[in-house]
Amino acid sequence: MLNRNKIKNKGFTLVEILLMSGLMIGIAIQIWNLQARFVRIQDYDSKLIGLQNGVRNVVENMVQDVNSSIAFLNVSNNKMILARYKSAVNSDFIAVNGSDVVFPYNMDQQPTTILIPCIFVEYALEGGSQIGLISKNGANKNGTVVRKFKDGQLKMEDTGGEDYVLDTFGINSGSETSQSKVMAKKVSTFQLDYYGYDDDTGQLVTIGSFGDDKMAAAKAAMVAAHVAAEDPYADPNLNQTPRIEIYTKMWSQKIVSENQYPQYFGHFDRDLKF
Amino acid sequence: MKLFNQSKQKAFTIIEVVMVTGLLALSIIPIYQLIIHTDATVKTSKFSYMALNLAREELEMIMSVPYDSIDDFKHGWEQVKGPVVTEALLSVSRTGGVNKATATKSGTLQGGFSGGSRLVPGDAGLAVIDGDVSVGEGEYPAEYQRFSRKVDIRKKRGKRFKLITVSVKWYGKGSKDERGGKLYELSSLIADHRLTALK
Repeated sequence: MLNRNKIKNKGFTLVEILLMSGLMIGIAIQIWNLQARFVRIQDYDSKLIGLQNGVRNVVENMVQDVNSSIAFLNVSNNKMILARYKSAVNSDFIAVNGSDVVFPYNMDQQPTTILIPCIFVEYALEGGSQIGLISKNGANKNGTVVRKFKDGQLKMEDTGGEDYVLDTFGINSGSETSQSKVMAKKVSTFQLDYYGYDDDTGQLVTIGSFGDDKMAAAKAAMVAAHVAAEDPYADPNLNQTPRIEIYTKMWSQKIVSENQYPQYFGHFDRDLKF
Repeated sequence: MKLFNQSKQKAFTIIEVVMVTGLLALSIIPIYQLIIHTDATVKTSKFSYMALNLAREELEMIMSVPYDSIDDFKHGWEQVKGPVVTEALLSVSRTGGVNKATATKSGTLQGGFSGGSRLVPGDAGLAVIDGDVSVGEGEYPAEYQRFSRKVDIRKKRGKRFKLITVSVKWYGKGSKDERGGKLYELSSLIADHRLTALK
């Protein structure tokens, strides 16, 4: 018993202290590494969530706007302006807003102009040029996609082209921008390609086939949108770059209906009822 | 009592110290799992959103073609890659089968996106995304290779509707062949607007 007490009262031996110190240092290093990894993962996740929110914001709003659009007024690769009907449909509402409209259009060999109250929606890439992915060229991470809209009048004209078809669309007048909102930041790619229906073949063709810009805008029925956002780390050794990339097609249901069933749908079918 | 007091005055043994240190170290594991789980959830939400877009895109595309041509777009599971605007879509005529043109008219896409191949390895050495595939302008990004899409079209008998179901499944990171658990489906009825269909 005496011997045992003697042993118990002893302090740690040098070997035990070295062993414990080594163990504690090892655990501390592991905890430090884990903590660094946690921070990195959380940083990656929070960046990815932020990018996702931005890209979703752009794509979902664009889908809604394009689906309900009646005309594209700008067919640039990094900018899109489209027109939507301004208000809810009233069955008593006469679609044609001009009292001097002559039917059929251009019957008297004079261009027919029709004005309709609309909302114009614009999506544009600001603060960045058309670029590739950041991870490829390491530049331009400050692009933002901005959505603007304003009230105005859509000017549609029959300039003597195909019978019963309005050839050009344009903004006749518009209020000052009533809303401008940044939809996404850190945008690295915002690329828009437009397609419309060829009158001869009835096939979908790239908008460049129509030549004239105004005519091209009038014919556009679908836009293929490529949107990517990235938020790279300053440390180049971190090979994981938070990134989200969406490439998708969006259709104007109004223009599709007009082209699929021209005998039933026309440019003035505000509610797609005919 | 004397014995009890004596035992209270004892110092910790090395075994006790090591065990307590080990227990403290083990307590980090749940925190680690929580963060890994959060990471997986964020990535899942990203892929879910991409899947939703792929399903919506395909459904809208089918709705854009004439009613008679819809059946041409039925297909089984196909990996999402290649041109966003396919030759099949470009070749279909808006007027359906009657005036269907044989030639495809297409133009050159504008813009400067050059793309490139990006490798995202899956689990156990399996490359979910083929790093050798070069992604060009106007084509789905390389990351879309983890998705597959299927279109099912059924005619509702006696009615002027077709039921379109678009399914999208994808590889999650680290689950090389477990696509079944990650599936997104979107369905819609498409109507034949032509009055003759009312007969």
